[in-house]
Amino acid sequence: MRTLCTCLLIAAAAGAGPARTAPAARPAAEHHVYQTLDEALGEVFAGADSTWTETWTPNDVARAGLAAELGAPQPAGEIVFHRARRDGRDLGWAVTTDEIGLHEPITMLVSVDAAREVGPVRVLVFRESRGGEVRRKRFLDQFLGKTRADPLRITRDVDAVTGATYSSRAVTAGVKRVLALVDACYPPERSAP
Amino acid sequence: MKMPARHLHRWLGALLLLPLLTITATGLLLSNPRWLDRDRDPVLRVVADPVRPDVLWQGRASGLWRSADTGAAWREVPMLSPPLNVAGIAVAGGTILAAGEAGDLVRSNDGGTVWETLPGVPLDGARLHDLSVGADGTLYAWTSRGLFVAASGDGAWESRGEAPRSRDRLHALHTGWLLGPRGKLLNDVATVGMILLAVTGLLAWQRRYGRR
Repeated sequence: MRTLCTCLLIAAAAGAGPARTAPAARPAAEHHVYQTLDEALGEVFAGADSTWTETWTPNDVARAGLAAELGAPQPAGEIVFHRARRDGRDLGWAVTTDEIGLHEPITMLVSVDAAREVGPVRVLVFRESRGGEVRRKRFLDQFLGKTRADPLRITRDVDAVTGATYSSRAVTAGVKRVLALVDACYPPERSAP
Repeated sequence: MKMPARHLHRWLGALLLLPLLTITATGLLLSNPRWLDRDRDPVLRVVADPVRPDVLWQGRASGLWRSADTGAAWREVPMLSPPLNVAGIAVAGGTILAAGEAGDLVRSNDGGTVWETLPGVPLDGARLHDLSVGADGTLYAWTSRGLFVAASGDGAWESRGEAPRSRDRLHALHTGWLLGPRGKLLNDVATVGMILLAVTGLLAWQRRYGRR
């Protein structure tokens, strides 16, 4: 009984806090660097003989095309494609992208292999106060082998992490964006190094 | 004297088991409305476009839908990060905003082709009920924590005075949302545990006393 009363008192105290006033209280943004870019590249291009970067600055026409295709604007600026080769074989591309979760952008590295299927995905920087579970392998491994033909939508072909629905959605959007970027910059007939 | 009291206690417990299970199970279902609508995509909001007379916008659990023929046919609006459980839709000229119940927000400035994901309304577990946009572009979000206002969609939302109602606090406590999504999960697990406890208790009681 005493325990029950204590629990009720704690809950009442938590619920009856002061009224929120302007500006609106938002969960304090945390800034977690789960992996550096070099660490993540080392994992997604494991065993690579050589690595290099290529850049692409899409012009207005290309950006408009990407925006229409994705249904989302493509930010202006240079896109860096990390490339790698092993035993003379092209390992594909890896691109970092930022996608908003619920309030803050999540930075991730998405790799796409030479067959244009999604390879390992890594969450590099997480800034939301909740939902960091999306960095877990169990969630990220769902994207392996996905292509542009897949819907890449949570609740359809991607299971969101419980309690991290919006972060899961952001990672899914990042994967979809990188697949589109690779195809836009490296059309299939031009992909051979 | 002691025996009748014990019997009364047992029978009262057995009689109360059904309403207890009903309250607990329905509470669990109300806290997880998706369980009831697992294979459905419920419509949560319909808004007529004030500029294009034949266009209607529909908020669904899966995202935003659009009809170009006053509701005869609907198509999902393709976008990279669709809002979920769309509870608020605001249209002002070529600008369309859609917000999910959790406060996630998207905006299109070209009539609905390209959608930009904006920082969400800082609800922290509360629910968004409606969204509107003023003539000067100011956004208004009506939520279970009162009114939130933003001069634009850049994420600088302000709460306009309405404190959480006692009912909202109670709802947050009841559903576990007072402690966030993990609290809700803990609450669901505890609720299932309570149902199991009640059923196994009844079975144990029946085994021990049922054949007397």
